[in-house]
Amino acid sequence: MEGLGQVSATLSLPATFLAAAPPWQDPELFFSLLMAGLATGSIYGLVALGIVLIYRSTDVLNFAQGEMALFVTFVGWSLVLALGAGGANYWLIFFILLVLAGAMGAFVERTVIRPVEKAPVLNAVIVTLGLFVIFRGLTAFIWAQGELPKGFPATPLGSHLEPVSAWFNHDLWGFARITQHQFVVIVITAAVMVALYLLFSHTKLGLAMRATAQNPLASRLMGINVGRMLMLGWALATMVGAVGGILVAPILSLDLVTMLRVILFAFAAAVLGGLDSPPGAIVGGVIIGVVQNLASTYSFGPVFFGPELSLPFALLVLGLMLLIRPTGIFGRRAVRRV
Amino acid sequence: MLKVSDISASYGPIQALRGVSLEVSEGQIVALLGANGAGKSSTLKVISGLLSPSGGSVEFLGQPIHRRSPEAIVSMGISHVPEGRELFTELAVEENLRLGAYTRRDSAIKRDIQRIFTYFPLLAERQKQPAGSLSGGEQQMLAIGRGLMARPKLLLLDEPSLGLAPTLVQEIFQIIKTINREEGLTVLLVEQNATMALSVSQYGYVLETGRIVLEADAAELKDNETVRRSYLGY
Repeated sequence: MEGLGQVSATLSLPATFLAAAPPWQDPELFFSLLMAGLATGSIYGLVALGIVLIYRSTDVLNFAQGEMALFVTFVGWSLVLALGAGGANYWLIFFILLVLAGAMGAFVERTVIRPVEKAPVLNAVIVTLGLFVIFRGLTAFIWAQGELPKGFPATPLGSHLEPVSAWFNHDLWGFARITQHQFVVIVITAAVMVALYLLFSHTKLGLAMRATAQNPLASRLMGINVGRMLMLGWALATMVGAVGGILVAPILSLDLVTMLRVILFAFAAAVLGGLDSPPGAIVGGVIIGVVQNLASTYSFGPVFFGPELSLPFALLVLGLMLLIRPTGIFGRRAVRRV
Repeated sequence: MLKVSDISASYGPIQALRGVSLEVSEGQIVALLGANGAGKSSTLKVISGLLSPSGGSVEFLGQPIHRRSPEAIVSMGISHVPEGRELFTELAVEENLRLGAYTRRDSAIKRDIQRIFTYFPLLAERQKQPAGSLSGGEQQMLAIGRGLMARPKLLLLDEPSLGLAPTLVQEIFQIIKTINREEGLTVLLVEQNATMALSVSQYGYVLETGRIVLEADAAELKDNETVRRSYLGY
């Protein structure tokens, strides 16, 4: 589990795996670790949000969420190489990737999820595991016949080494020590959340989507096209997950395990926040990101997890949560399926 | 207004309807009576499109609708208040009502919500609460209110009295009668509580094991020996 751990490690830690000085001796390190955790946690949260949106509306755990995002991210890599990542180009590519992700999600729901919609849960699980293999295979077939990993060219998402103060010419009351990329990740995650909040609680479409997630039969009686809502739900979820992939790409080099590192934490985040709660997904992601970053740097008394143990640590959090409160922090429905 | 001809339908191997025919004219309240499992709810499901019939036809305002989706049928003006209410329990009362008006594109939705609140004042006090937190009677009122929000020409009501105290049942039937009288709403009412149903309706059908076995004016049905013995209990 180097990957994301490295992000924080490269920030300010020397390349040793010794525990750092405690926060009260080095508050600056503590703060930057916190922000790094917030940024990586946001990415986990976005992928978790995709998982939650699908689970809420179709009761399916989409194990392929990460691989679908990886596929989209590789397309992004090709586009960046072909068109260049300068200024407006990158945002155009970003937009194209969102459309692609949405179309992919809608297509997958229509073609492979709908037939197992009324089937036993296990069928849906097998289908999403199958999707995992398909998207992974497809990605490997198209991109991995050359060399892996692929480094991502510099993007307007900002450097993950330079502090954000270089952009603002101001130290922003100390906040500017976080890197440009972390800053952008946090801003984009917040924007995604605001957009989803507006969609779900202030539009008729969002209300219809929530209604469909709750009671498909009654929704049909209201005149809601339930099939279309489920398709839109998958499209939206795949878009949100893809944003996670696009944001993580510049810090992790792209290879076949890139999203594997993210998806495990994302599942932990989704369960931690409550599998049916979108805000819970983000909160769960941030908690796991921060804990992971702190745990891989600080020792707790004589116990020092280090970067190597950060994944088992996250899974420990997941296990404890399921034992203590199976509905997660914000969830209402118990996790009873799968 | 509604003409159901020789409908049959089944759930897998179990045949629920074996040639049901009935008619509802505009402005009427028509009762559909029968014991548990006689096929009352299945008849409503065929009309609203939730269950597709294996034979027969349903015509609404002269158009065949038995091949249409529930979504299309709501838009034509048939609202189905289903068995068990089927509310959006985690959504607020007011959101449930707004969803009732989902097919509408006009601007009078807010005004109609207020109108529902004048029929069911209890709901007004609870508009921000989740529907699942309401009492059984309030939930039934909300289900009916939500059905009315579509501004239907025909309302299909499935067992509005189920599980409610007698005084509440009376109140709900009074309101149905009022809406029928004041707004000319046509109602097809499915009930096990035959006494109540026949007291508000003009015409009635009796279903037994998927077939209509009897039909007559409501007053006549009340006096009918068989109906009295089987459904009225005296």
